[in-house]
Amino acid sequence: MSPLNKRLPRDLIHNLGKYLGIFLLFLFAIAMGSGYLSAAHSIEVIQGEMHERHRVEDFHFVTQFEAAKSSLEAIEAMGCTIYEDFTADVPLAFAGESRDMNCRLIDQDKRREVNRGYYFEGRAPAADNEIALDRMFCKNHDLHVGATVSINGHEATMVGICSLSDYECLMEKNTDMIFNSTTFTIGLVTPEGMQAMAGGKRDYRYDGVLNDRTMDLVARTSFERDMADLLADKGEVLTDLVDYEFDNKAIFFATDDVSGDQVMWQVLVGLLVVIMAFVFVVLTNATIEQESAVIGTLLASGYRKREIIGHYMVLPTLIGVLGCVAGNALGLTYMSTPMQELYYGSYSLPPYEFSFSPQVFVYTTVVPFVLLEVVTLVGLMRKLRFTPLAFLRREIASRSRRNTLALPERLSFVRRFQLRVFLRNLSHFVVLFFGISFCSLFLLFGLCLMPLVEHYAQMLSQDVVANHIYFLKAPLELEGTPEQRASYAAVERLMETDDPLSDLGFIGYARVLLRTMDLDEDAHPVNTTDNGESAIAQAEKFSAASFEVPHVITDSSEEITVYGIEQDSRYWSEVDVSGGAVVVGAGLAEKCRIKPGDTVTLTDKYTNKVYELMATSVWGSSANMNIYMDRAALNRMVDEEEDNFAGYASDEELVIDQRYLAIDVTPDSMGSTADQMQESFGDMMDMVVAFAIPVYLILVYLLTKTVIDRSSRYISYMKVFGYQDGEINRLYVRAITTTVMVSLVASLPFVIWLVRFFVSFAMDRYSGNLEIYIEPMLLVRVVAIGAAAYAVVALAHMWHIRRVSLSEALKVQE
Amino acid sequence: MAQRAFLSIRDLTKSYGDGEARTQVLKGISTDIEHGEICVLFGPSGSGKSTFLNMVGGLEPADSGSIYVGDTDICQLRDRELVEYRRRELGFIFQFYNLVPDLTVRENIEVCQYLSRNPLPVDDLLNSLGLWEHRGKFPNQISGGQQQRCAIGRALVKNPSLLLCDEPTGALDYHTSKEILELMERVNREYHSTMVIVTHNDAIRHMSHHILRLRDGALSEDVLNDQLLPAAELTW
Ligand SMILES: Nc1ncnc2c1ncn2[C@@H]1O[C@H](COP(=O)(O)OP(=O)(O)OP(=O)(O)O)[C@@H](O)[C@H]1O
Ligand SMILES: [Mg+2]
Repeated sequence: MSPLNKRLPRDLIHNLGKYLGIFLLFLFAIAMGSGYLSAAHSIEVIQGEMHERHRVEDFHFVTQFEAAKSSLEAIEAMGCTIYEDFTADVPLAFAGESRDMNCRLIDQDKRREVNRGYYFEGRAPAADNEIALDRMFCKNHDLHVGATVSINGHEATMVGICSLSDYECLMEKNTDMIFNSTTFTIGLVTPEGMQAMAGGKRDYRYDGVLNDRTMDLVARTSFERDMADLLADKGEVLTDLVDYEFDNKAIFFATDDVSGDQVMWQVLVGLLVVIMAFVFVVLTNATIEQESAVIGTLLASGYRKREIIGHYMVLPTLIGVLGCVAGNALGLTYMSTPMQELYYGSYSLPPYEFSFSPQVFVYTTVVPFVLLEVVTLVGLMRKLRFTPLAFLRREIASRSRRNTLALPERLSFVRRFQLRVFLRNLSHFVVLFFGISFCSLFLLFGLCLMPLVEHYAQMLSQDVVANHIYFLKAPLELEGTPEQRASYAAVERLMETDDPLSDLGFIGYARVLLRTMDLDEDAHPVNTTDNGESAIAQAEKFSAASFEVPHVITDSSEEITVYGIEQDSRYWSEVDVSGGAVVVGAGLAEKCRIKPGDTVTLTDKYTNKVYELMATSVWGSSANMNIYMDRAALNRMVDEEEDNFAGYASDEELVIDQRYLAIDVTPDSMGSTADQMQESFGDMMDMVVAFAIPVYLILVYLLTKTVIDRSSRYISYMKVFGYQDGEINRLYVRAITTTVMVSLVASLPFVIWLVRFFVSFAMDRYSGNLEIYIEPMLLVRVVAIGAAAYAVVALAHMWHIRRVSLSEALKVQE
Repeated sequence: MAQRAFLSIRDLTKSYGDGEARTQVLKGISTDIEHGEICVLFGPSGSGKSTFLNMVGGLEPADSGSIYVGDTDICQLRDRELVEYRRRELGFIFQFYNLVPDLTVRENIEVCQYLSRNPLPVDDLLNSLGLWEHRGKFPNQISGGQQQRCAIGRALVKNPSLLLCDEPTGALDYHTSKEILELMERVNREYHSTMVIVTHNDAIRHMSHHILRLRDGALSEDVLNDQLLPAAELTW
């Protein structure tokens, strides 16, 4: 072994800051990169297996009323199996929670062959007053097995904590922007429990499993369209048709989330690796420069370049290996749980199992390590092209004109000196600029998402023009005579009872039947409750239909709602739909690039019919994804009766028959979207910020330290000349401080641009339009955090300068 | 053809720069230096002494001419072979000692011991350099003279056949300089190494076998000295 290697431990101690920096950089990049990507990969593997392992449906559809057996047999003949899977959304309550919560009751017996569930704790319900709730929901509410909950007013015991394979995330409705595990859960019950807790209320859901499960998306969606056509021919009214992969967010949202995040992390880790490479270049060059005389002497003494390169490679390699090992160890053990929690804290996934991914290992460990080696090696080889004499004469520092630039005399000496420090270290400062940009990017990205989401929720609730927007499953008139109400109440009773004759007795049954005889089959049913004249007067009908509007960049599409509203609407008073006007929501206009005068192409995904509308104006907030037009015109367009409607907008609360009510949208219900996003992103963003700050410290420290180090001889001279530490700080540290601060501020436009890019990338899989608005306050915070982190570094430098000894200059003639 | 001298230099030329800025530093130097000689090279500042020495050391290429060391013309060697030449044959001593700051005195010497197939024993060398009690110190913990002795030790330990010294006493005081000169004389006697010493100190001519003087790119003096004085008796 070369005796030169004896200096390695001393070099290590002497340049501890530098090597510790490189080590920590590796440690952080790998612990975060490998920790995150390994966890994400493992989760992806788990998700990939779900379809087979838990027999997740290929599609499901919901009919307005129970489908006829013959209809179902007809579609099964097309090549699939249909499983009846009726659900009921009922209110849920328990002690200590005052929010309105929705529990989707699911009959566990219907889930033996399809969309199976799994238990984390407890057992499956066995009695009609037992229920199992979703793991995420229980976690968010700290509910434990044995808890008592009230389901639709019935007391029930929670006997199990479970998840369903088709509710990987608790997505209440497919059109929701994000899942909701705070006010929504699935509840598994026995068939008797279902009957007891939900009464007659049902959503008529049917789950389908194709005979050919390998069918690709295109074939499957076309199958589903044919099926929808057939069902329509059979007289069934579809209210929902969902392909598991194409548009079932409860199944695919989590998968998309994981894969989308992975791309983002890969890009960020990649960026970090590139920055690291630059840092290595700078550090290697600085080392060689500092070691110039030693290298020259060794070369003159007959050392081979190979031996010298070997010598200078030992420590970086060692540090690199240590960093890689420690980083992976940390990433796969300590960081593993918080990384899993990023998803297990939001999604109802099956239990975690680690799967090793060679790609992740290569990407997070091998690539940075090889990069360190190659960059250091190439840097050394490039520098060692110089002759031994050049080293002895210290001529290897790249000499460019900027070092000999004449500076105007009228600048003060201090200014000129600082400028010289700046010019001499320009290459360091360029790398520093990019390092700072990168960290600011991280910081801003981590900080901006939450306010964005809040802003979005605000916009969303702004667009809810009435206190209540009631969506109905079928038209239901509020106005009616007492006789009509009585008749419909009779119908309701018949619907709710399985065996009316024995339940009501002969007389009762006959009475009910007689009542129903009065009904006019062509008219809309009438609400059984009279809400009172004034409430009925202020409620306003609207019609609605959902369509797909194509995105501009990708070939995906946005599911939007077209509202048919009254001309001179009291609620949508700002929206003028007279004269065939078509008003496009500002969010939709922005996301799908629609301008007044453009033609909007709407596709009905159930029938595949295409409609074209000419946009006349744009209205609403940046989150508004709707289109507004005249109610009659919309009804005509979709071949409905002119007086058809989908619901009521109402400032006053209305009592509407449960069987007809689909959903009640209130401005407040939009707030839960924000809560949920906050819960889902919060941890991830904290992670990003937690990552950014140390990386920031290390990068800035490493890059500015080299500036001090390469000047330490001159600093020593200055001390000899009689300069005070403070004066030296002013000359050196001030130059660095200025550069750092200027970089912090000057990189902002670049950083904002990148953040926009990343956010829109991250948000691409969410429906709706998230306006990317970065508050000036956030920028101030980013700069402030950067400045605070730099202050720590500057203190370290001042301490370092104080420690530069006088003898350094005088003693050793390098 | 007669037996060539150990170091045989013929018509060596060297210039720097191009066009207007071109300066001819060496205009055709020829001399022979025998095995075991102490050869001293004088000349005013800027006359090309260091240039000459560096060329002999294979650190700087010649424009034309030849430098035979033994049977090899080092002007014809490729870079890789030059490294081997320096490794095998040469010891360098600089005005600024160029010690590795984070190696001890002993380790600095070992750095070059490692390069040689028949190195001198380091302990003996430390003793004869008067560095024994300083062997564990770092360069910034010893005096300039001690540092230079260490640098000489580093050059000597390889047991080189040719020792090139560029102003070895240039940074030292009278007494220390004399010690160093005595040391070099002893090394020359004990190990029969050939030495080329560049210096501004005229007194050194008295302890040298061979005296060269550079002026305007040519040798203005090239004489042998048969009245050697021991280094200890030099005064200046
Ligand atoms: N790399 C170079 N490029 C251009 N000119 C050079 C270079 N190296 C040396 N010179 C010039 O060659 C001449 C000889 O330089 P050299 O260093 O050999 O002088 P010297 O005799 O050793 O002087 P001193 O006694 O001051 O050390 C000088 O005029 C010097 O300016
Ligand atoms: Mg010289």
